[in-house]
Parts: sequence; structure tokens; C-alpha cells
Amino acid sequence: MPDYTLDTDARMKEITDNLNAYWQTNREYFSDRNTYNNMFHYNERNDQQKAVLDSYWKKKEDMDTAMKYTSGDALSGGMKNAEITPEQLNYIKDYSPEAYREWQQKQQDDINLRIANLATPADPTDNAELFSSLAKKLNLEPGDPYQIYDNWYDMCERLGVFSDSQTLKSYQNQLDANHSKMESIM
Amino acid sequence: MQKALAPYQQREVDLQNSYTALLNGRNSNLAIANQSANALAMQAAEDQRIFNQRLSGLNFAMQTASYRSPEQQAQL
Repeated sequence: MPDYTLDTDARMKEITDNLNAYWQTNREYFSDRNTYNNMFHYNERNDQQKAVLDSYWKKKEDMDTAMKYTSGDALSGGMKNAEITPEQLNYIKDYSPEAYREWQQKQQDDINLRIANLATPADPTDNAELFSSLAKKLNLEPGDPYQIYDNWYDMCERLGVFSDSQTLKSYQNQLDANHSKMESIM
Repeated sequence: MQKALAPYQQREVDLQNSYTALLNGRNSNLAIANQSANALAMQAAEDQRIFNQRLSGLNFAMQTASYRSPEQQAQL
């Protein structure tokens, strides 16, 4: 007659080993919780042993759940609906590595898409506003044109360059007239 | 004849002196105006260079902001 009250580590390990053995040979004992309770005398055991059975049952449930997610899409849907616990996800990682990888890739793509959505304006108006805003930040608004020739012209006028040119021309004419006079005398 | 020429020769000297003095002054003023125009042209070129650099920055920013993931491209 098994001891349903002993709570030593060795006894706990023995229970777990037995459950593992039955899992391999008598899967029908695990078909539902009532069958499980009856087959393993759940109600007759002390709290510590009950906890071992509870834990084993939960592990079995998690594995059953994990087995349902065999593709990245299924796993993604399960995660989105918050149907999967962290423990179940660990089982999926172990038993369906391909589905787990696909789901991770989808996660990464979703993150990339969210980043792109944040940065990309939805319509051309937004695009134009974005352009204006960036142009403003970069100080690319039109500045005053450089009137280089006008400035040069004003400066020449202020310094009397043009009037001096007129005076020089007049001196030249006077010199020419003077030469003519001198030539006529000679 | 020499006597008749003398006032004209003197006038020529005076005119030449005035001409040279004015020409030197005018050239000096012209150099100042040209220098000022050159400085302005250099400033304009530098401002243009900075503007072009900012324009490249804007182009980069717009390209980054317009990035579309493969999913978004597929949706277009």
C-alpha cells in the first residue's frame, strides 16, 4: 500500500517518476482530471503530495496546449488573444521550434512596421507638413538674395567712382583740345 | 613760337597732374568697391554651401521618414 502522507523529497521524486512512467504506458489515465484524480488517489493524499499531482497535471495541460500551436500564425494568434502562458511558450519553444521561430520573426516584422508607421505620414498633406517642418528646423527657408552687383554699384556711386570717370573724360577732352592748340601754333 | 606755346604747355602739365591724381583716387575707390563685392560674393558662396549641406540633411531625413517596410510596400 503506497504511503499517501509521506512528504520527503525521495517520496515526491518517486511520485513524479511514477507519473512519468504512467504517462508513457497508460496515457488514458491522463484523459481528464477526474480520471487522473481517481487513478492516482488524489483525494487520499496529503497536501504536499496533492501539490505534486497538481503541478504534474498543470504541466500536462501546458504541454497539451503547447502542442496545438504548430505554426507561427497559430502562435501569433494565441499570443495576441493572451491564451498562452509563459510556461506554455517555453514548451512551444522546445517542442515546436519552427513555429516559435516563425512567431519571433512575425514579432520583429510587427515592430518594424510600427516604427515605419510612426515615421511615415499617412497622406500627402502630412508629407508636405513634414517637409515644411523639417525645412524649418534645418533653416532652409528662403533668405534675402545677395544683390552683389547692386551693392557694388551703390558703393561706386557713394565713393564717386562714376563721377570721377566723367571728370577724367573731361580732363582727357581738355588735354586733346590743348594738344590741338599746340599743334596749330607749331 | 616758344613763348606762344608756354601757357599751353603749362596747362598740359596741370591737366596731366589733375588727371593722374584723380585717376589714382578713383582706382583706389574702385578697388574698395570691388573688394566689398568680392567679400559679399564669398559670403554668398559660403551660405550656399551651408544651404546645400542642410538640403542634403533634409533629403536624408525625408528618405528616412518615408521608409516603408516590405509589408507596407505590399499594401500599396
